[in-house]
Amino acid sequence: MKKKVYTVLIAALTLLVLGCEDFLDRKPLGRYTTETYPTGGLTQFIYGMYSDLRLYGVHAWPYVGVVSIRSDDADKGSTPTDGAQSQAPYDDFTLLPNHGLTLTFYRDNYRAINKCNVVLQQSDSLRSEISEEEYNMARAEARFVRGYLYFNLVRAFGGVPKVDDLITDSDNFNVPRASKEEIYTLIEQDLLYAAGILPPTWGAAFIGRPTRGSAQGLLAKVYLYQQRWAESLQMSQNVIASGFYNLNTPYNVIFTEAGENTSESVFEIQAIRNESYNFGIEYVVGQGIRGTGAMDLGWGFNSPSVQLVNAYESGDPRQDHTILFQGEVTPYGEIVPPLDGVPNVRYNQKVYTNPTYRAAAGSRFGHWMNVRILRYADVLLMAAEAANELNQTSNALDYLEQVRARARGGNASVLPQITETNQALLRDHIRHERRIELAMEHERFFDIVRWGIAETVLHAAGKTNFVVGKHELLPIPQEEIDRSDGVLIQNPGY
Amino acid sequence: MKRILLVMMFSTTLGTIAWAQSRQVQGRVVAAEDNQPLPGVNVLVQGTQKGGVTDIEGNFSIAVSEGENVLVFTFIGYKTQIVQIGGRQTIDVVMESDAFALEEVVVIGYGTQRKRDVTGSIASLKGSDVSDKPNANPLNAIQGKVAGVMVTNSGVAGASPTIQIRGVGSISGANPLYVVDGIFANNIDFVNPNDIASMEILKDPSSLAIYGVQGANGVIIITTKRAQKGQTNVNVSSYAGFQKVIDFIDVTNAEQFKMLYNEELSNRGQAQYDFSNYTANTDWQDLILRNAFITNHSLSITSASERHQTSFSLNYFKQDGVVKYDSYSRYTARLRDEFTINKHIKVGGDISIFRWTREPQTAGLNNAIWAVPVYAPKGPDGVYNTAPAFQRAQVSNPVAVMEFMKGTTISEGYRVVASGFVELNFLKDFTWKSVAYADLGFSKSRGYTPFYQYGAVGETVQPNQFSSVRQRNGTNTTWQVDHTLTYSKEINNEHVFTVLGGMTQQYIGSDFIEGSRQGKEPLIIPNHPDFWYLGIGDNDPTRTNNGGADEQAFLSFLLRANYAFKDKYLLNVSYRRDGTSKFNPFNRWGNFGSVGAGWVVTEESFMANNDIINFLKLKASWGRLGNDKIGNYLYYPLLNTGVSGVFGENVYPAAIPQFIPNPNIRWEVVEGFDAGFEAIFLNNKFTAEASFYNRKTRDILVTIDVPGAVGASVSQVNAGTILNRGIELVLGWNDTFSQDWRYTINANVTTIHNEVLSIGDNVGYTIIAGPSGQSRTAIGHPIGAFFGYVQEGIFQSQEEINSAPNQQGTIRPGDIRYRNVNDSDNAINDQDRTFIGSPIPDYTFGLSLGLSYKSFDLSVDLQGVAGNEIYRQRSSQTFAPLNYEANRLKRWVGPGSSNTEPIMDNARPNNFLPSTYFLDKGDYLRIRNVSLGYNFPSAVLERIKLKNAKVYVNAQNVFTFMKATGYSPEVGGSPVSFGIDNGVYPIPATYTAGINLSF
Repeated sequence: MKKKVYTVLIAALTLLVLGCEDFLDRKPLGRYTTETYPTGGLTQFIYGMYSDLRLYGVHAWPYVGVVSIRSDDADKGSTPTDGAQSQAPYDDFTLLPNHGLTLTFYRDNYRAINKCNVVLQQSDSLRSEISEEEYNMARAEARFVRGYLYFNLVRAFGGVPKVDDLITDSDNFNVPRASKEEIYTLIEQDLLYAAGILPPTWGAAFIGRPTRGSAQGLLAKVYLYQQRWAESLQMSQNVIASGFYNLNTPYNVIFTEAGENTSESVFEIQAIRNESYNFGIEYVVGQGIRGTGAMDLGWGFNSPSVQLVNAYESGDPRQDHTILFQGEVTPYGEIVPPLDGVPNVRYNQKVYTNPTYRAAAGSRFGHWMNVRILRYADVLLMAAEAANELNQTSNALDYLEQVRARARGGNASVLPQITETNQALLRDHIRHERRIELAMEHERFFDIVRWGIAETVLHAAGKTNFVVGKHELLPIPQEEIDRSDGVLIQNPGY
Repeated sequence: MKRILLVMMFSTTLGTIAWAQSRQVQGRVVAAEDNQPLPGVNVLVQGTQKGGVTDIEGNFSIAVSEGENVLVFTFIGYKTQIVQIGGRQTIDVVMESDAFALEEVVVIGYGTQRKRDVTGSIASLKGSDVSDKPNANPLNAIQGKVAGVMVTNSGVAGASPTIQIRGVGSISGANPLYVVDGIFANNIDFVNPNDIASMEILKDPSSLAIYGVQGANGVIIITTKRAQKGQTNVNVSSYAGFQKVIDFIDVTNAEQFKMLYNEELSNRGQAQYDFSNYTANTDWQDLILRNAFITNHSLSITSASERHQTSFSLNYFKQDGVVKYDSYSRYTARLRDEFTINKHIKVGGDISIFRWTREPQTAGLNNAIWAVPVYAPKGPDGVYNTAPAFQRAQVSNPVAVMEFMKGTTISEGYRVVASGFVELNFLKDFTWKSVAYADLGFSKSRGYTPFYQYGAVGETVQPNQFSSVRQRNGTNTTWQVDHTLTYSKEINNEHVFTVLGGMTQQYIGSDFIEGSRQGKEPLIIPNHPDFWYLGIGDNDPTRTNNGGADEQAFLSFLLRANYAFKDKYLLNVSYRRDGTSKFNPFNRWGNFGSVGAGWVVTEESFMANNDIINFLKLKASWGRLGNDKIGNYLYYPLLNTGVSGVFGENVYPAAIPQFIPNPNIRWEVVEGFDAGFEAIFLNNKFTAEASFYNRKTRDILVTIDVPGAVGASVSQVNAGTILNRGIELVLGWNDTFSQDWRYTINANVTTIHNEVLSIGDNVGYTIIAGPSGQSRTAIGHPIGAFFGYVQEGIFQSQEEINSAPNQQGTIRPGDIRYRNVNDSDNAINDQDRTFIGSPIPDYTFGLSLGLSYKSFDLSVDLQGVAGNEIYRQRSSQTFAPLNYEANRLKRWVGPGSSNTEPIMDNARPNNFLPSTYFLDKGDYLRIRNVSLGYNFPSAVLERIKLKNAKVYVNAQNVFTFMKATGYSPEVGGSPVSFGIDNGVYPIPATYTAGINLSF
């Protein structure tokens, strides 16, 4: 009897031990791994890459400060004491390296770059399973997005760590800064590759997906920043000649919900928030009208400056389409409210949302609004600028006039045609047109830096803390320097 | 109903068991210390099975036959008395307390051991140390009572404390394992504090090694009450009282705020704010805090006969939180049965049923500190006001939100914990025991977000633009099976062996399902719980649903041998092999073990009959164990699928890698050495215990925050070594002044040296954590040490700035002047930051004083920590103008005005750099508990037929001496960002009165 008991016990134990590995093998429940994702292929990673363009640090609150609040066209806005450690340091150049928004901007851009590298790595690992066309297209899209993100980084920080491959081995985590030139080379290579493969158009199902024109238009800007005028002009002219873009959209429609992905749009960040979907972006909410009740549309930052107000030519209709003044009756019949303790409140009208959309989304904060990154008017003005530098005066004047003609909105008595042929004076006209046409649109700060006029215009706008040789660039975030154990070197002056 | 119950209990008679034999011997047993009768003492006629127990008056009566001449009296906690009958008919016996209970057994995991034979560090607490204290969780009550155990309490209703045993050895999952009557649990919410007979805290690796994988952060073993054979005990206990916040955060009142805010505006060149519409002076903290009720009622019945042992208990506990409208209540019922079928077979089981309900706080603590005091909660028309525009959008009216959200979350759950065992004794020395446990939890919550807006016309805010409901149901399933075989043998009264081998298998699973539904105008969902289910509303496309599940599994084989030679030389050895589901198969198994040795010096002949040293044991042990307390599936390349690609109005499903998977993650390994002594002096009056511990955690599991340029996070890596080292000292003294006056003093102190020996390995980085990046886990410093600048003073003038080292950014008079730590560059920059404080105390200590006079007893417990810092994150916020803390009243207003508080101006980044300016000293000394009790004398008890009756009053957290400026110096947090005060729930003072009755 006892023997039997032992035999049974030993048998039971043996079974248990043999069953161990099965018992300990626990597969993820209710979630996918790269191996179990059912569709296979690449598309999920490509869409995932695009979703990261909506990241908070890439195109939302930090972005607004980096590209706009630093300029002479915008003030911090909101109430005087608000945002004291967030947007105020951008506005008045009191920035220290531990600035939180700058850290988020830096890290989120690299998060998005990582997704581009994921697509590149996955395309290689799946190469045998996908068509050549699919492979090339995935790479073109990834390299376009990566080039675009690095362009934002290099303009903000100068040379940054060059990560053009997926890093998985911890031995390679600590990447030093590359030079500004190396980053520009990477951007050019990426965008040139993309321009060679991306389609000229994607059709309705994928409207807004980057095209050949997007890559060429962006390349035009990348060359412009390096004063490579001929290459820039060539790229702009490629876009112009493609015939896919025009200025048919009235200026006051471009920035409404109805103006998303029009024939003017060369590249814009796609967002949606409605009854069914919530894949929005926090770009608008920081800048929306800071009212109460139904007019509480946001936090009221990035306020058009008095310098911008005064920069418009008399009668330029674009002023009214760009700036919301206190007390103004808006195109939707709403009244811009006062802000307690703030005289002459102004808001960025280019992020002003339609009340019908607000009601439909059940939200007042504009998360559905696309972010316009590259418009056809921008391409024309880049062409004008490059042409003027190359002494192709009549071309320059022609491109300039196209933009002004649309701006007139049919009123022939305003915005007279520019006929200036002196290169230096025409340069001023083109710069002025660029400032006005693209006001509050992410260009001004970078433009005044590349034109070498930042100190002059910023000091004139009362931003007297701006120091030449320092504040053109943001500090490398202190946390990143600390994390790198000193491998990352701080920008001068910080 | 209660009355009937009481009558029933009174009528339960406790008789004397007697055998009708030749002659009756009777007598009375009293306790030496108070001459009070001792009920329940076992009386046995030596050499026979005949015996009985004393009744409530301490009387016994027993039949003895011819030739039976010796009676043996035994009682737990007292020395055994052996009495010759001689010719006597009446025998009165005085039982002497065995104060230090060395013969007492302690629970050591899969078994018990005599306390004197233990070679590791195990602290033992009695149930009475915790049961009467007004806490949701019995662990709250051990604070300051046990050396080496740091308890961080929370004032939240029903909350469990954070427990760290001997420092922080792990970055992930630093909580200990709980073992309740053998059941492994991650918390002990389901345990009725009045059921606890003893609590053992295993601290050193050799004691813990038998728990292998699960025990790396310490084990707390809880054993519930059993009755003595032949006894039936009924215990009723109740207390009730209230809790009150006594330490508020000192903020400015309306007049002070207006002055400081306008001063700030003028410092920034802005116009003064027109406060003419803001005439109130509101103390928001006062409005969101309350004196909160706490009560506990418990009934337990234990009974035991020759063949059957049973216990049954009921408990009800309710605690309202001091922050409105936090509330928690709990009902538990437990039944335990054990049957001795014959001398070979014993079977038994128990079941606990536990139900809880919780209502979360709806008031925000930081909200009340940040809201400016210049407006009243409500206007004259009864409408809630909004804040002035400068903080209207960011800081809501604390009272309005609290009231709108009141009662909108309904959260409740059940838990059933059950076990069954069979124990076989065979071949005399062998015991086979198989135990199966199940722990099933069900939780459900539903809630409502109202559509609401408030504020006067033109000043309204509308936090929600629609109403919504949500529901979530979850289940937790844990089961465990243990099989052990024990061989115990005593040879010649000299060699005592116990060898144990076994295996244990555990599965932990959970799943949940949840959803939400919105109701927009005109279909606003009504504010009534009857409607708060997902079925409400129309077919709203914004509805969401979600679900998920998790599983983990463990399997272990264990072996242990304990050996004692002549009670003098002790040796304990253990080995364990653990497997876990957390790691890839090739890294899944780990081998752990321990060895411990002891020498009872007082058993040696040269020490025999020593009057000064009654007992002395020297001991040393070493052990190695593992930790796998990380998330599940981390070695898999998981995808995050909650994202989408958007093109125009079209949405396409997307996936992105959740992290860079690390297929090589493996066991975190803890190795420790422990040495010390236990001694008893002066006829048991004085006890002393000391141990030195030195514990290293290698291959710590950590999420390394990789450089941003990598663009992804890493799941987990094994990177780094952490050292915890220190000394624990426990001293006790008990004595009498006279027959009536007795007193005890117990003191303990622990030193903690926590140091990161390596981190990041080949990555070579520091772990940067905390909301301002102020917490660093770096080589040569404690985990999560504070890092920043050192404030030297305030710049008084431009001349002072000009003569100082080059500053960062724009510096003006009134700004903080930092120390030029690295003076080689004559500049203040990132090189001047240094380690400025530690969140881990150098010392923790406790002191208990007991005094009794006749039937009264008084106890006072003190507890504290020293040598740590707290980072005042809550007062570094600048997202909007906020109410100021009182320290700002001492701000710099001109040369010579202040050298500590900078000028009023939130837009000066220099003054918000992490620095010593934001540090508070974390040292505190708390009068943790004061308790006064009265035990009814036996004469009274006899008349009312009670075994025991006690009434008491208790005050907990009476006063805290501290330098911290927050609600509590017990701040908590994750190990890498510990001690950051970003709004800590107050630890209230609690005053209760209670009664304990035993039949």
